[in-house]
Amino acid sequence: MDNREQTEKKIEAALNSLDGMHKAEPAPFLMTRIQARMNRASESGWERTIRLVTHPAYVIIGLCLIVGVNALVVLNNDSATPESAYAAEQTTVNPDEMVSKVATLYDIENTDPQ
Amino acid sequence: MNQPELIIQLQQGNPSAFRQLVDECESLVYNTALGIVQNPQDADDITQEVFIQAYQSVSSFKGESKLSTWLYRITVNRALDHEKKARRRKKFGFLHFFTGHSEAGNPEQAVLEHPGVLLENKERASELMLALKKIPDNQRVAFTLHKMEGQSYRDIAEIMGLSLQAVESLMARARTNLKKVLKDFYEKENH
Repeated sequence: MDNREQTEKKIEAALNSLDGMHKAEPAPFLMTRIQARMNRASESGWERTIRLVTHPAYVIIGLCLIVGVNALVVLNNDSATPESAYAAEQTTVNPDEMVSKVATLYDIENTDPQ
Repeated sequence: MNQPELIIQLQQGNPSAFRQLVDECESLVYNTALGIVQNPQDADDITQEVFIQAYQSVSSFKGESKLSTWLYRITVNRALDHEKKARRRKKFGFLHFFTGHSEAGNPEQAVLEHPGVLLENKERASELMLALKKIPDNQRVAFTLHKMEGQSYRDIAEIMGLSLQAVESLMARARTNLKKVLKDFYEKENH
């Protein structure tokens, strides 16, 4: 028998392979599982929301968002630091200047304030 | 309870009528779903969904067709819908971690070893199952209903909402396409 004939034979055998087959049996306690599913479907909105919110995937996403927002805030603060430092420098009172001013006002030896 | 009475009781929400429906039709629904999705776990899920849908929508059942035809129709639609979702899940497989869905229902990878197939036909049947995944959905459904559920072309026409000629044509095309797929498979095997 050549290859072609063999292939044809296999094809026919495959096409007829379901002849005389028996029915498969579903897993036991189908009715119980259906009832459990129906009960789950009828749970209240709050129960459904709580189940959704406490789902590990959503918890992880929530945590990632919080960490991400924190990271953004920290990075923004870091990039703002040089300017604020400069501003702080500008507003810092020079201690020497302070001393001289105090001396000018309260130094009793200085009789001529001008 | 005969069928008209069963329908009336179901429409009144009688739990024992629903139990009777499940007991009488679980094999029909499960085997149809199994033939289409080719995965026992998914077929079990679909079976549950079908009965829940039947329970919820039995009030709209007008009794124009047999109850079994109506159940077949729901099962076929559910099974095809399930397959579409499984394909979509496969496309976005990287999101499995977030959705919590597993790869169990992957329609392209699993090979069904149908428990009801005769032992001497097991190997060829597995090859046929693989080939069935590669032909269009409507051809696959018609072929499955005919070969696995033993439905006549007339019943298939009613289940699929088609004319008898359309079903004959679908079956002919299904056979041609299956032959092509199987031929490629066996030729590759020979080389």
